[in-house]
Amino acid sequence: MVEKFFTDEELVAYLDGESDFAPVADIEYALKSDQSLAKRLEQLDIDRESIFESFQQIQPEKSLDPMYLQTAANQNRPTPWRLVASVAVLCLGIGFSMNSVLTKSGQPDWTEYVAAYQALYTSSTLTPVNQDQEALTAELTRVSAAIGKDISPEQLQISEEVEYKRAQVLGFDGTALIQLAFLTSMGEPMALCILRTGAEDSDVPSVGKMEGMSSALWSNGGYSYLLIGGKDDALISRLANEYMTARL
Amino acid sequence: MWPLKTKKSSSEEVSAGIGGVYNSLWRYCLVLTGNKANADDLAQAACLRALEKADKFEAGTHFERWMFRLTQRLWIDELRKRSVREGSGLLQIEDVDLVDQGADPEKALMTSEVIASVMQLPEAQRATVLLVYVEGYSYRDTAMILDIPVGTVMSRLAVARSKLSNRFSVEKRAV
Repeated sequence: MVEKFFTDEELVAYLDGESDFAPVADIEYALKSDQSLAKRLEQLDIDRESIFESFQQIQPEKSLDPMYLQTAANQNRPTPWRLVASVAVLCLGIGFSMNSVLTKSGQPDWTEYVAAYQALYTSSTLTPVNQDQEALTAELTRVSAAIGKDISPEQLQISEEVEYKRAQVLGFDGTALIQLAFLTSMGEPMALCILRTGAEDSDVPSVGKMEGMSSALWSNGGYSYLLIGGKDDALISRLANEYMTARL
Repeated sequence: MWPLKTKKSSSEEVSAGIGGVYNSLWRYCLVLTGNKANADDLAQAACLRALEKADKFEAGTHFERWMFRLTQRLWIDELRKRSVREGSGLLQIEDVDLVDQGADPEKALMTSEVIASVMQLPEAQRATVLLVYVEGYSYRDTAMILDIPVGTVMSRLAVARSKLSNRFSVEKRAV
């Protein structure tokens, strides 16, 4: 009886469990008597787990920078697509009037822009950000003044479940909007964005989902607040209630 | 309560998905380009291209695979030519500082050796190895990403496995 010959490709497909591309039954039958086939399989064998684990340890040193995407998009081309338009509006304060982004029911569409922007954040966006208390305080004083508030890091750092990282002034239709960034204990980025809208005070934060992230929206004292990030609705709700009660 | 979205558009899915696939995509860019600086450039260019082409993405389909395919095309069509030109015809493969040497030096050394073995493969083979053995794509999906027949995926893996098996064997014997 002539032994069936298997190509290296077929043997590799067999080792990889790609049964559509390997004559599995034939190979397994032949293995019962063909020592050279077993040797060939051994020569093609590799430690897949080791390759997988090794490459998992490689991470980019620079995280994806949402500002890069926005800037590059503005420099290179018109912005026909929604996200970069959103980021551009959010960051540069261009676009349509505030009235046009408020629905008749007073729903603040600015939250959608914030959500699209936040969706670009990953844990590595914020992990390298480590400021001492003095720097955090100075930054937050400057940033919160942009919307007429005076917020301290202590007011933000109300739970061990989140670490306050940094503050930024953004713009929305010419109105200052501040973004206060956090990293949760699960490594997920979260942001509290505050904008002066003149909206009526809320009774309770409204918890929902935006861009697949947990979010909570409320207003008090003429400001609107959006807390967004991660997928833990309970955490978002807990934090939002504390910030609202504290009248941040 | 503000409106909850029930179904995402292509643009929304692309913008929401980029952050989640960026690390995997960057690893693939590293394997294609051979060094971190070029990987940064390619990965960010790919994200930008993805946003630009978001309307071509069919919402609800495999976003990560779409990103890898788009990145592969971008590399082949544009950036590789530039890199080869600027690199005098050869791409230099970086073999240092890819792995943090911190916690467990012995493990870090082994990890570095495994990565170096893969990175020493020709570009086509190492890209295929990464997609199948690191990212876990099937032969069919890999063929789709690389825009090649499944038979070519199999050939590349067969050759790559043969080389890697030899290298690992040599390393094991040397230990």
